[in-house]
Amino acid sequence: MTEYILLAISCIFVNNIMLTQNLGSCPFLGTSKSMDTAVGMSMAVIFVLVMAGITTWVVEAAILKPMDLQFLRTVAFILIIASLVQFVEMFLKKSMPSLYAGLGIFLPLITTNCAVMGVCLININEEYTFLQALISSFCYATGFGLALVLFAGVRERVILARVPRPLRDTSIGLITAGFIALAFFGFKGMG
Amino acid sequence: MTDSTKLIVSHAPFYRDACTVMKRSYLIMAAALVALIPGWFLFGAPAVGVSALAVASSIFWELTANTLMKQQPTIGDGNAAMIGLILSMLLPATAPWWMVITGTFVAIIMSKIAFGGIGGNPFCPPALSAAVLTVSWPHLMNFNGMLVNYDMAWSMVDPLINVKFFGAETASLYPPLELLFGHQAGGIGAVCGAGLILGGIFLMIRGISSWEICLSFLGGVFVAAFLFNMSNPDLYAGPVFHLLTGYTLVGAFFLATEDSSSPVNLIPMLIYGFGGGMLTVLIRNKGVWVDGVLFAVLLMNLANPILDMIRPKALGKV
Repeated sequence: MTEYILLAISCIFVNNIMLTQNLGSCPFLGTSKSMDTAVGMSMAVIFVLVMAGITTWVVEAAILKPMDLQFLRTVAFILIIASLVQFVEMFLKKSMPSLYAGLGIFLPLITTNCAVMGVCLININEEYTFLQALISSFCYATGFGLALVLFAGVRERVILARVPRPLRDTSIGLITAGFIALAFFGFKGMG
Repeated sequence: MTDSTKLIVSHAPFYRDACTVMKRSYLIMAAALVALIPGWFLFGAPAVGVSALAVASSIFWELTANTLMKQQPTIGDGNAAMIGLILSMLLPATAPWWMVITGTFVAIIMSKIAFGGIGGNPFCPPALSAAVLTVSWPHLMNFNGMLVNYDMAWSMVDPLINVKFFGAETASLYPPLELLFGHQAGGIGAVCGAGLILGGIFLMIRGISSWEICLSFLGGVFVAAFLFNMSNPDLYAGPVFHLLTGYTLVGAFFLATEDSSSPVNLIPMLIYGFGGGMLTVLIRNKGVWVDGVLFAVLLMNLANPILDMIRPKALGKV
């Protein structure tokens, strides 16, 4: 039990997928301008990542490994992630059109979100069991969502501040993201 | 200022008071001096040098930025000097000159001017700058370096390093009364607990530091340290030790209460302070860092916009 709790803490805080491993920075900068899209994006990433984490683990264990087809791993995983994103997109378009419009191009871009692919590959490389892979996928996604929501909160305020013109928008966003990563350095060594 | 913005929406806090930025800065500096002067006496001329250089270079960076951006100079409000002075409280007396100047560059240019000056910074500038220095030059921000340079009548080993690596029984080397009067290794303005408490009480009475944040921060440290101490007294030092060592008191009175990076309503302020205190002890006991105050303050600064969403109900709203 302790092992799983430590894995969760490590995935959310210590090895945060965005702030420590630098994966998934395009949606991090792209969808953080308002809190609503940030929360929506976090939910979408959590859903996609958990589903993708489970599916890819099963595909790896049941098909690729027994048949010695590991060289197809990248292609197979891309296919799985892309179809999951397509599903989320259709669901959001029907049920939450405003969020769909807010997320815009970044929703189909989850397909190419390196965080999703990265976590699926981490699960395989670390040779996690099914339960561990499930926890790690969920917690990495939660960590991404946490970072995104905190960043959106800070960014909503920075937009109101009188930032010098050369630094406006993405530049100050990147500076803020760097400082947030610095704050997350505090968790180093835990878990 | 060459800015086309017609309507300016300023940041929290929105207190209405006759107090100006200048008056606030000077009062905070007066409170900081109460803790700094004993530090200067303990560590001698190099400590005075670090403080003087920090204040001077802060003013220099702010003036440079004002000139480059063709603004009215804003150094008159004393905010830059105040940030420099508070940063120097966190530095060891042995800090080299280039480190002090780099520190004030991060504090003034990167964490204040880049975010649009006073009131725009989402992080507390001195805490951010000290964290950058801690991560960049851990061997220079290490208070055990003072061991070589100072021969005092008391142990000059950083109490937090002692407790972290040699177990909690070493905490008995540091009686609380000695810690209160600055008999320890630490930042120039962070060693003298009595001075910090006096300065802090002054700030709380004048309403410059909100007492809710200060007291809940100290409460958070106390409760977390007490729980850790209860779970394993051999490994984790007691609450009084954690309250009087490291940056705890500076953090509670000067860093966590920084105006634009702390919440304004009662419940968010209590959560903010308490969370900061808990995180401090958590990082000290579990993380790799010797002192967790800087990171705890930054993490709570980060949570501040979210915490501020807990608002009191508007009058007349059903």
